[in-house]
Amino acid sequence: MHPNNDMPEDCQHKQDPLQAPEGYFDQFNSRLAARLPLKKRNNWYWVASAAAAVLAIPALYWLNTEPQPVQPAAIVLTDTAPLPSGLRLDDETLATYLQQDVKPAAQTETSTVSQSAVPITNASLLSEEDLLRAGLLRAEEFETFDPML
Amino acid sequence: MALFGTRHTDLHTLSDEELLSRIDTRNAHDRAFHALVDRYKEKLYRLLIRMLQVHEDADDALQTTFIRLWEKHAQFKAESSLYTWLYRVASNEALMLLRKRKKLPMDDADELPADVQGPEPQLNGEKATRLLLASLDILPPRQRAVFCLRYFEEIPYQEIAAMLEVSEGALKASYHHAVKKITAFVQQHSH
Repeated sequence: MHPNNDMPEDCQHKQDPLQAPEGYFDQFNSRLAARLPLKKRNNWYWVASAAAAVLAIPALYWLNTEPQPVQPAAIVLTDTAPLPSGLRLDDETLATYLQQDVKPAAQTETSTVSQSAVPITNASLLSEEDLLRAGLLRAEEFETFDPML
Repeated sequence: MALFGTRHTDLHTLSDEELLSRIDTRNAHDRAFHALVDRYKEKLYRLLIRMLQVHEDADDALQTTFIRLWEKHAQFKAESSLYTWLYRVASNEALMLLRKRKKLPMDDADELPADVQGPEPQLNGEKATRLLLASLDILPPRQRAVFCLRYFEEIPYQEIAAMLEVSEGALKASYHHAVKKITAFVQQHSH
């Protein structure tokens, strides 16, 4: 018997021939749930994170295995004038030669061109002995050389 | 499961608008949505079975109505009540099914539906009910919807007008015509 109705159940059924079948409403929600179109989850964040991680692994590996660039030897001495920025004096012979004439303090200067450039005295101001030693003046010229000319 | 039970009970005490705002369409078993389904499924079924008179059709229309709610709940505006909106969707679904059915060839339009032809009714009330339901079959879809909503559901004309998007005057005229046809049908078949 229906709790809120004094009428027997079979009489209720006869009163309403269009009653739902037994248990219809109990099962309705589960049948409806099976037909509901589900909205897809917003998983772009996770996809993007996973893609970034996949790309980052080989990049990090490559960065770790890449040989470190070797810094060229610091320049110590330059020729008569400061070199253009970025150029380095690699001629060992010249460097060795010039090393003999510069003051020891200049050898401890820092590596860059602008900081370590040690100006060389102009050739015209050198003494005749120096010029002769450097091979810039022949002996016969030395004899006739008149610095006043 | 006491906690679940308590929360379930709480959901059923919430208003339609509050439940609508809680629906999560990523979960087919969303409790807010199913609380709304529980609230309206029996009322809507009653309307649909009277309009369609076939359980399978009523079931299909009922499911479609709630699927529309599932899909459109975010666009639902509180201009009308959810109850009015659901009745409108259900009525339109039923009307669509009735129009489809009208296109199918019928052997004999005057023949009573199988339900009515069943065993000899034992009560006058039962026979009257069967005749009344059978008479709905002779009504055009729109008149049938108007009659069901007004006569069985006792919904005011103003609300039915909002549901079916017709004027109140046209509704009253439609209901009047439906009553006249049903009366003539019942008188013809009651002997």
